[in-house]
Amino acid sequence: MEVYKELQNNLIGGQVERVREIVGGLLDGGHDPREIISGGLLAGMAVVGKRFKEGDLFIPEVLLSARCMHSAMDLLKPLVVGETGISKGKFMIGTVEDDLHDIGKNLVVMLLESRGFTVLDLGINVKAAGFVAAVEREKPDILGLSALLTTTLHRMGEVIRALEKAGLRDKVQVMVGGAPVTRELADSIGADGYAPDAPTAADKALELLKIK
Amino acid sequence: MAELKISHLSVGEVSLMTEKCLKLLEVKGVKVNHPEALKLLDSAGALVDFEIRQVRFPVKLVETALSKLPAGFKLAGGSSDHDLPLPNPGGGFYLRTNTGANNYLDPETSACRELTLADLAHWGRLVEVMDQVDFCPFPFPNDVPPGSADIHALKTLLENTSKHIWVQPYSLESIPYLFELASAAASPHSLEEKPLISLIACSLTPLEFKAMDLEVIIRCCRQGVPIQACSLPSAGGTSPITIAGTVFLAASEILAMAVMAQLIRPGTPVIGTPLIFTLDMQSGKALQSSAEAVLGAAGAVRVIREAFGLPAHTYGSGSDSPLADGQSMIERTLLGMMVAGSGADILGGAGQLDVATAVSPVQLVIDNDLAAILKRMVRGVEVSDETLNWEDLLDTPPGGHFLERMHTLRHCREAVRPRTFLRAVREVWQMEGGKDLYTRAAERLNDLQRDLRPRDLPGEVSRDLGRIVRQADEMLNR
Repeated sequence: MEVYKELQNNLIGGQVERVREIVGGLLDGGHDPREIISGGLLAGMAVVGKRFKEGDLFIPEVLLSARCMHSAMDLLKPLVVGETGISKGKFMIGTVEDDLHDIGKNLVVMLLESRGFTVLDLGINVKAAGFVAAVEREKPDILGLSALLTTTLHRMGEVIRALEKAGLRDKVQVMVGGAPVTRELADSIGADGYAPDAPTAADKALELLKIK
Repeated sequence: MAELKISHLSVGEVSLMTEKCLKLLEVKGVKVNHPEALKLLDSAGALVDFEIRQVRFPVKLVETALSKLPAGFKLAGGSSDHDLPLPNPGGGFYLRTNTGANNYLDPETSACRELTLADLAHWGRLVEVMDQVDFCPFPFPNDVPPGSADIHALKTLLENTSKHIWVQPYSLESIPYLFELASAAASPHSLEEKPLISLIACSLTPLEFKAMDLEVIIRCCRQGVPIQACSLPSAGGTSPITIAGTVFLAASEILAMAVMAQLIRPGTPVIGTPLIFTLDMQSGKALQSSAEAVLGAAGAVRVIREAFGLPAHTYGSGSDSPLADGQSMIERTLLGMMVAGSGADILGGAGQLDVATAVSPVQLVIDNDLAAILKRMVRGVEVSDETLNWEDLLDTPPGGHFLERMHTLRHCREAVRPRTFLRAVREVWQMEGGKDLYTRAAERLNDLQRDLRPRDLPGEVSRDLGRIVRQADEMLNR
């Protein structure tokens, strides 16, 4: 909608303060918060996603747009009764046991959030039992396992087996990723999905949810 | 004779960076997750906050520590023919192969598969016959018990190469077994007398150290084994996106490790090993051979050598391409040239592809030739009465030639002759099959493979190595 064009453009341009001003102005003008979200913010992020895939926008620029959206949502969320309709799904993620690296995981978290996922980050060096307990408690749609070290790859299979043992394997889809992770490894441990890099993780997650 | 010198940082810029490194360690310091190390550093004069495990180093303490660095040391081979003194008395650099890759590229098909222990044994034997490769770390074997993979890897290399082995421990618990293997192989010498291994100690960028890496530093100090102090920043990810910021962070982390080692045991040999990556801002992939990573590596070499007085070791080979293709050749040549020209003592990554995650024996054969070219390049050009050839020039008439001159005969075998490169005219090349570089290198590999053999270790050593691996299998895979 034309009335939200300025909001979209400033979100795409990463103008955090201006986005908040525009949202404030729209609310003062009587616009419905849900329409601001869908017509302004989500529409703007859809353009960001498209331009990112085309190679026009880079990761830090996408993250800045996502920050605009979150900042605007701080203003809008309290005004919306019930679900905002913004979340595409609940994605839980963690780096496996003995692996302390998180830059890749953090990048995935930021890109998933920018694509509309609610992300629960369990952090680094998460034991299999920790993943199981968190899945039982939070009931995510997807559990993402991250590893950077070749020496910790076997922990991914351990997590899947622990989920099976706890009777939770069919309650959550499992995705794996990280520099040494391959499709072959993912298939061999029975993961539902694999993403070769952070930008494709969100696409893969969306794909998994559609076939859920 | 002047050596080749590539310099993209001025003396002033190196000074500024050095000053900032000292200030960063004094004002902010590093986080050290090792209780014993914290106590040792505290006793030695570092400013330790035990509650948050943060260690700061006063400038004077750093300067005193650096003054304790050894003037020289060696990386020993299983055979003393392969000992590597540092500084290198002949000048130039040493070359090492990949560490940590878990994928292997088939020589004939270039298909990628998981690396096995048998591949690792073969790799060690190949390193043994690569005349430009000076030492060898281990890639990652996928078909052994995961908890003791590094122990299997070291044993396998000890059995297959008599060159120095650079060890990357995979866990805190592995470290005693790795030292025990090396000690068994060095026997009757101690590891201090015959440092068959050096070890990686690595920062957790930015500005943090895991328990495992301080354990490596402490064990190396106590046993007199050289430490290769590594920092692996990725610009835009774990370090500032700007090249200078990433070099500054890497240099600071390496300085911290060098200082910690001298505080724990003055005189411990340390090699500064910045391995610079940049994060691609489109894909998020870490790159080792982007132009920015190359500039970063060359800059870090300068700071580490000139400011800290440490030998410098960085990637001087390798590519972000998954194949031994044109991109691979361009990237590794630029990287090697910049880093060697900046004065690096060790160039790393021979044979590696796909940002160090894959090894290719065919690429290794090509890298062996490339290293010979680079080693020649850094020697520069000698200008002397002999090389100016004054007498022959006076003597040679118009239309004359130099082919039969004694001067030509004296020097005719000095030029580098890369075995895999073409020196034939096109028609001859076509008559001989019209083979490209990869094919020629693969054929050379086949020739080399006919004569590969494992080392002939004494029975007692072999038995000890086997026992240690069995113990590690049992204890580390529970």
